[in-house]
Amino acid sequence: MMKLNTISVAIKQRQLFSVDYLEFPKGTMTALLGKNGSGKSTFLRGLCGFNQEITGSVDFFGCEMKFGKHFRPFNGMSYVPVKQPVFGQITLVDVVLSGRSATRNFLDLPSKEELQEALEVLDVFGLRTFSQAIFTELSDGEQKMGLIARSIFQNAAVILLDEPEAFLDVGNRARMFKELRKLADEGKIIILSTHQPQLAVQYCDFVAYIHECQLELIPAVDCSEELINRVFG
Amino acid sequence: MEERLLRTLNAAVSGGALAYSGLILQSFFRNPLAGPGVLGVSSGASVGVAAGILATGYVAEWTGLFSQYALGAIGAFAVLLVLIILNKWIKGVTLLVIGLMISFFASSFVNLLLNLANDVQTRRYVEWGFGSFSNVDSDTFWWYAFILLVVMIAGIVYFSKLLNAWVYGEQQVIASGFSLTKGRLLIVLALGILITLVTLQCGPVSFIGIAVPQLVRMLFKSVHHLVLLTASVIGGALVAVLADFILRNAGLPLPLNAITALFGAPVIIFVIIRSSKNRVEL
Repeated sequence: MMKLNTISVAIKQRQLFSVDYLEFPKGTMTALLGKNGSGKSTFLRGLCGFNQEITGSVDFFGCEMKFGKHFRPFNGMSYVPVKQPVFGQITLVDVVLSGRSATRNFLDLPSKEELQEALEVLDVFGLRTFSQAIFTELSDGEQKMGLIARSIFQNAAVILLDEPEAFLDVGNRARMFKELRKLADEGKIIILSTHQPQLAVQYCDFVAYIHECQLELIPAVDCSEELINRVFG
Repeated sequence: MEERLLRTLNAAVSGGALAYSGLILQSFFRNPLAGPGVLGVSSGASVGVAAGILATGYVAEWTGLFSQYALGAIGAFAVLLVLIILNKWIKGVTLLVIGLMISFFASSFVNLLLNLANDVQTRRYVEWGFGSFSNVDSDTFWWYAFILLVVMIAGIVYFSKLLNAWVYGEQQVIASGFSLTKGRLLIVLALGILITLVTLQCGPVSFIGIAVPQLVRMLFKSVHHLVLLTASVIGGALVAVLADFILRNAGLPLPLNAITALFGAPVIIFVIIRSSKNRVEL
């Protein structure tokens, strides 16, 4: 279970949104809805310690930490960006292996077992045959799947995704959400920002919408057409 | 004989340090065309050298050596810091253009300084600018080699994991448990020391720092910086020794930079063609 207390997100004094209390139980999938610039990405990145634009505290499976200067990212939390910049000739399996670099010593050399595990994770997404392909030469969808594979390999209990449907065609969008649903059913906590309310309602357990500088968490079944129209104005 | 040996060792250790610095700069700025020369870091050190020659009248001799190294280091560190600060907003090829502008700025500043110099001083500076591995002083060389090797080995130990994360962007650096500020500072410190020392000892040697890391990246599909850094040092050493060998046996008074450009420029052009084919953003 991950709990968030008195969260406030602001960029350069511009208050984006705040929320008193949020909890994400194991095995749930939550969609973050809101207009462009409402603070969805800033919020997700802030949870990982990538920016200092978030205040409040997080209770990560019983381990509490305040956001701010001294925040250290949790190893069990993983972030999948819209697009991952990669410099150099890096193979897909190397990208997956990079997920656990925080736990390795200074030489950062993966063990044989780790390599085997990484290949097995790729197998889940049907990407094993591409394990030696150069990451930047894969399609956007394959890259996205590869990054989710990295989160799983990292053993992340919480997977945060910034617009997982971006760059994907209609068929792959549904497939992506189905895969994420499967991961949630296996016990992961999944939080994703999305501009696809229909898919969110269909696959997620909760919808967190940002409206008028407030974040509200409701069960996905309660997310009506009227509410979506109100949020996106 | 001893002189020849020292000269060869000087080429090996200096070439290795240049290629090593180039590889770190490329991974750090995520740009395959970065290097100590292109980014203007060597030029920053050159300004220090020119100022040092003016102040003392000697290049790479014990008299006034310290002031020269200090001034060279200030120049190199200043350029590195400017680049890192600008890198927040300016990326890719544009950053290289900034580096080029810094080089132009530095060289006109040097010209201004040389106006104040006498003929001997000016000639010394111009000769130094051609680049050469032959200026070896047996007293100071061992210290020079020792410092370079220590910084490089410490760097391989500390930077391998850091740079492995760095190629994925700053978020991965944080996710891997590193502090961005500390990482940046240590990289600037190591590169500043290496580039200053080599530039003062051998002049602004071109192309080894940019072309050798490229060749290494092509040879090894591995992205592991433990491998890439070690291979760069060895590759840089080999290329520098080879260039110096050609220079000594050519029978012509050629500057070192003419030889390195002969080998380096085609490599760079090849890299650019290849990356535009693969639609890699520079």
